[in-house]
Amino acid sequence: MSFFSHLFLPRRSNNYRSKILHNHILLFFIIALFAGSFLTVAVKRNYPQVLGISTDITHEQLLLLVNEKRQQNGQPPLKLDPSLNVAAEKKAEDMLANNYWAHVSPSGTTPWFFIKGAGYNYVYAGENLAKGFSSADAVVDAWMNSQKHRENELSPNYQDVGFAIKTGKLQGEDIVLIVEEFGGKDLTVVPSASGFEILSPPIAAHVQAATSVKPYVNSMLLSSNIYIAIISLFIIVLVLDMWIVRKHKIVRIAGHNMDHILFFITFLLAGFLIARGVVI
Amino acid sequence: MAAKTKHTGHYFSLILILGLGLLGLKVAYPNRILETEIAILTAIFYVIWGIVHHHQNHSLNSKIVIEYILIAALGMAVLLFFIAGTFGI
Repeated sequence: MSFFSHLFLPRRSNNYRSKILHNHILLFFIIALFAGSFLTVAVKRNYPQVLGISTDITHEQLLLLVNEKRQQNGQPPLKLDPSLNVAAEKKAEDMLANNYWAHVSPSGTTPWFFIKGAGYNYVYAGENLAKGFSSADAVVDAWMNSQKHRENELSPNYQDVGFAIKTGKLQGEDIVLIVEEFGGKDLTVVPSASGFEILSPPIAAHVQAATSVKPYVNSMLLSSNIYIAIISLFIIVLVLDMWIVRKHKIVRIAGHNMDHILFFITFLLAGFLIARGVVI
Repeated sequence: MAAKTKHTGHYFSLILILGLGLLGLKVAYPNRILETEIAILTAIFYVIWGIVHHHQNHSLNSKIVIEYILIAALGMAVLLFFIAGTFGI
C-alpha cells in the first residue's frame, strides 16, 4: 500500500510529487512505448497467428440489425442469400488483393460483376462498404447515418443481402473490411439504365484468397486498451496529485497539472478520431 | 483581477491550440501521415504554450521545460503505440 501511495500520491517520500510524474519515470514510459510500437509491428508482421487483427462481427449480427432498421421503417426483412455472400466475399478478396477502397476497382470491375459472377441474377443491386469498425452496431449505424447507404439499407427493391467480413492489409493498414451486397429479383420491374453492366472476365481470375487466420491476441483491442489505460492512469494521477497538493497547500516547483490533464484528454480524443470507421 | 484575466486568457489559448489539433485530425482523416504530423505539431505547440505560460507567471525554469517536453513526448509515444497496434504501421 505504501508503495502504491509513493507511486501515485504526493507525499514526503516522493518529494510531494507522485513518483509516476517524476521525469525519469515519464522517460521510462516514453522509451517503453516507442519500443513497444516497433515490437508490435515486428510481431504482427512476422507472427500474425500470434498478434494480429480479428473481429467478432458476424453475418447474423449484421442481418439482424439491418432487418431491425428495415422493420422500424416499414420495410420487409431481407434474406441472407448464399450467392450474395459469395459475391461479397469475392469483392472483399479483390479489394484486399488489388489494394483499393472503392466500389469500382482500378481496373474498372464493378460490384455487379461479382454479383452476377456468383450466380445471382439481379434486377436491382447495390453495395455498401465499411472499414475500421469494431462492432456490428457501429457499422449499421454508420450506414444508416449516411443518406446513400441508408437508401440501400431501406430500399424496397431488395429482397436479398449478402455479407463478407474480412481482415487484411489495405493501403498499408491492417483493417476489418465489411462488404454488403444487396439484390432484388423482381422480374416485373424494368431495371434502370445505369450501373447494371456486366464485365466479361471470368470471376476470381485475379482474386487471391486473403489470409484470415484468427490470431491469439487481437492487436487492435490490445493497443486500444493499453492506450486508454495509460492515458487514463496519468489523468487520474494528475487529478489526485493536484487535489492533494491544493488541499494541503503544498508549495513545489512543477508544471500545472491542469495543463497536462487537458493535453492528455485531447490525446485520448485524438485516438478515437483516428480509429473511427469509415463507410463508402 | 488582472492576474485572473491573464490566467483565463492563457487557458483559453491552450484550449484553442488543443481544439485546433483535434479539428486538424478530423480534417486529415484518414491520412495517417498528416494525422501524425498534426499530433506532433499539437504536442510542440503545447510545449511552447507551457513555456510561455510559466515565463509570464515568472515560474519558468529548466525542470518545468523538461516536464512539458516529457508530457508532450509521452502523449506522442502512446498515440504512436496505438497507431502501430491498430493499423500495423
